[in-house]
Amino acid sequence: MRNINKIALRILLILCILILYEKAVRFAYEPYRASNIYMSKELKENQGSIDTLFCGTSTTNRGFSPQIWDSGMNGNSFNIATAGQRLSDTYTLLVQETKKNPVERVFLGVSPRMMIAEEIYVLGSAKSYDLLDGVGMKLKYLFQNHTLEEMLYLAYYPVRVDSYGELSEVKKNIAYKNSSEFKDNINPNNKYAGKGFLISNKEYGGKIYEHIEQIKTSWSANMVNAREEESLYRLIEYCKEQEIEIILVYPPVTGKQIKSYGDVSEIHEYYNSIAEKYNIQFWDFLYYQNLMEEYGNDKFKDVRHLNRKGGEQFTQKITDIYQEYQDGKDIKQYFLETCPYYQSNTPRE
Amino acid sequence: MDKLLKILEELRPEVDFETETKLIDGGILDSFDMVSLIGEINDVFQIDIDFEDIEPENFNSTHGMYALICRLQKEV
Amino acid sequence: MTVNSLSFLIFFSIMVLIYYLPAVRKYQWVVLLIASYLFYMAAGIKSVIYILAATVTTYFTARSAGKLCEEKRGFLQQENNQACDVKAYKEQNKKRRNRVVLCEVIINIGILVMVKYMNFFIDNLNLVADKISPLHLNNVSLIVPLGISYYTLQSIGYVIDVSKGKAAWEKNFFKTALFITYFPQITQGPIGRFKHLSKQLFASREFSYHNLSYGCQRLLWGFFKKTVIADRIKPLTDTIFLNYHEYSGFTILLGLMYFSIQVYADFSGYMDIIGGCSDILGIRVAENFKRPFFSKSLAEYWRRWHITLGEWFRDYLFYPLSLSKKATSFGRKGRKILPVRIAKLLPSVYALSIVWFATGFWHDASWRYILWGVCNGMIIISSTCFEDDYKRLKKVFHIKDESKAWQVFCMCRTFLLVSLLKVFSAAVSTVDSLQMIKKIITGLSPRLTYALCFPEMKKSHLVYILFGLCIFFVISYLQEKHEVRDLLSKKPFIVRWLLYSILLFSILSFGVLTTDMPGGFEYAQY
Repeated sequence: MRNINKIALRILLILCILILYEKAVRFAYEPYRASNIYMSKELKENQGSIDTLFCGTSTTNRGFSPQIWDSGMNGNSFNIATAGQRLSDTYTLLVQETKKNPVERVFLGVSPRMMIAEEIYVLGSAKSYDLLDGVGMKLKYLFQNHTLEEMLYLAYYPVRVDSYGELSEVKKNIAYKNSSEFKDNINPNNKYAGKGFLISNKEYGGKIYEHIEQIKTSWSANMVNAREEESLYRLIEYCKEQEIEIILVYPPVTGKQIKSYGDVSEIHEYYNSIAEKYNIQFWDFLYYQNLMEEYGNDKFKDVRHLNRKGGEQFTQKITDIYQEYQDGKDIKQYFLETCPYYQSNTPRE
Repeated sequence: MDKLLKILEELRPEVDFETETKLIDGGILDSFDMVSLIGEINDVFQIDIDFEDIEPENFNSTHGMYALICRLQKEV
Repeated sequence: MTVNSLSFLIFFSIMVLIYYLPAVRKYQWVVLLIASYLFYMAAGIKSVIYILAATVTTYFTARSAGKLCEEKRGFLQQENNQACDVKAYKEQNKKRRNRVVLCEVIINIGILVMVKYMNFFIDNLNLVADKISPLHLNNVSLIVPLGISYYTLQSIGYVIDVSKGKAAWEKNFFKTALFITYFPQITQGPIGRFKHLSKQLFASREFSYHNLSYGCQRLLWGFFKKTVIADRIKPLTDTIFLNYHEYSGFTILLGLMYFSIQVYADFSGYMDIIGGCSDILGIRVAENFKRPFFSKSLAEYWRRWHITLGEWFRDYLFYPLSLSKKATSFGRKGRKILPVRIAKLLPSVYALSIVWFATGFWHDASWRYILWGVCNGMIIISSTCFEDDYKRLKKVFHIKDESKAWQVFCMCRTFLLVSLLKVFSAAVSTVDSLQMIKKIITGLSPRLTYALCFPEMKKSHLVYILFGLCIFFVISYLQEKHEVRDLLSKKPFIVRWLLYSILLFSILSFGVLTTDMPGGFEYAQY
């Protein structure tokens, strides 16, 4: 009996040490500008009133401006997309947010990469993990399909700081986090516009960078990862059950990216068939009639991510099309039968 | 006994074989020493120490070795 | 099931809970047996056949040998035996026992050769045959059962011990099976001895908080060594050895030294992990490492590195060979032509050459490991042969063995030598290892720049490694004179938990968890 007490006490002590350690290191080393901090806070603040969610990966993160949508639709939207977010994570986040908010519609940004996801992109999961609310949710998430090492990594990635010795940064972080601006949620990060929307004022110069070009140049349905596909179906079915409108959207990319994809009709057909199967909308902006005119390199920060100008313009278009769709108008007129890039005489590279 | 001590001292002059009791356990005699030692003992005492006799209790001290030699001599 | 997996954690926790249930007290060894087989099957159900074969042959050969020993004892106890009868009986009994041992050896080594070494022989045969005939043998593809190199030696050792009367044969087949399959030891050893291990395996024990605490400490230490040191050094050594063409001999030499440390941290870390698991069960496995880098000579190194392997080869190959008739007659013949001092060493030299060849070959079926074994053997043999000359030289230069400076020098020299020898395991193939040696000898070009000393290594990762090595060194230094866990138990609660916390935080912050994932807040920029 004494032994059990001793052991239980020590297990408790270990848990306390671990929790305190993570919190302490995070407080000291998490850059005070990190958008995730503000995103989590805002998500909690808006709890109970969000009616529209934008989900997906980094292309959605930078493509959908909740500010533009809110002013156009007089609603309260939130962009819960994060870089490298896997569909299984999207599903978990969606369930969490729809339980706490009167969500009426979901825009899911899609891309070829989303369906392939061969290796676990743990970093992407780390960002999603951060947005999970409550110990229960976090534990449940960790135990789903993760190896022990991945679990430890996800739970402890904040302590894996490269620069433990940079004490000047630590001072800044602690100072800001104790300040009144922080308590008032004033976000000092000029790359974050609020409500999950990441922005950039860069303009794409036309170069190709290797790490961006990791996507295989030709996509085919047999590359699809079964787990991701299953998550996609579950997501859509969940929305249907909850009577939440779900719309698949493929945000625009640069001509150079389209060129490296090769033939985009396969991926178009793939998502189109899923949309038809579930009787939901699929708005493929690679087939948008004015793609070449309205989405030149000046609307992108790199080969496939929209910059601030591009994101706001795109969201405005989505808002307009959605309103027309609500009014029963035919929105097919906005989309062509093939990608305009192939018909263009002056390829926008 | 004196013959045995002579062999041991020739082999490793720096060790005090009269008092040491951890020749094997303390790693004082290594495997080369053992082989040379056993070869010498076999020759001098006309016995046949086999590798199954290489046990710490037989070789940790000179007394152990002497007891082994006497036992094997009786058997021959 | 690797030890750093969730499934192993769950498996082990459940197993420990069942193991210590009062109702199970008398049958704890049965729990261990079932757990060991489950563990083994997780590695592949088909390989179970091999270990069962080893168990069956070992059981029956041990039984025969054991019965022969009992017969001999019974016979010798009879008072009315004639001296010549006794001698004849003893010889006959010995022959029969040797035949039994031979059976065990041939069958089990045969299986080992078939499974692990067949392709080596086929490839080499083809190299020759291809030149002289159209005959070309195809490679076989057989699974290599988990731990076959280890459990084969452990089983053979047991049967030899029984036949020499050093251990009693185990009458229970299932207990024999447990001895062979005991799961903490099955993957990478240590190679246990029946007398020492069986006592513990088959005993019943109560739960002891002391064992749990010591075991967990050892586990923590093992994971620390593995994740913070070994796995952190690995990318550096991989970079150097997979691209050795691009680096100078100096960088390759440094790489070999890093590799030495990496392998030590990895292997001894793993030994600590399984040792810790076994400690929790109240079973002490044999030590495999005793701070080998404090060795002052290569011979001493091999008494401190992979100890159970060295001891196995010493007790079951070196001694039998060096004390055999062949060796002694070889020694006698040698006395006629060589000085006595050298001739005395001939039996050892003869046995050692075979032992080192076998040791090299045991590690892997490749020429580079044979070369490695031969090199090790040659260095040890030559240092023994020239021992007296060496002593004389030291006298001339007034070098005292007790001087600290000399001891440190010897340790550095041994470390350098051991690292150089590691070239055979660091390289991917025999040809690569020879080319690396060539580069070290002919193209050293030492230059102390960060890029040449630590190619493609992030500075922060280097800091983690150095931090880990400092702790490693301090603890190793303490271990030379003390049992550190005992030392620690006398310190106050705060001190102990501070140390545990430092190790735990190091594993979480600096340790390699999932390969190559950026840490910290790199995501913040995305």
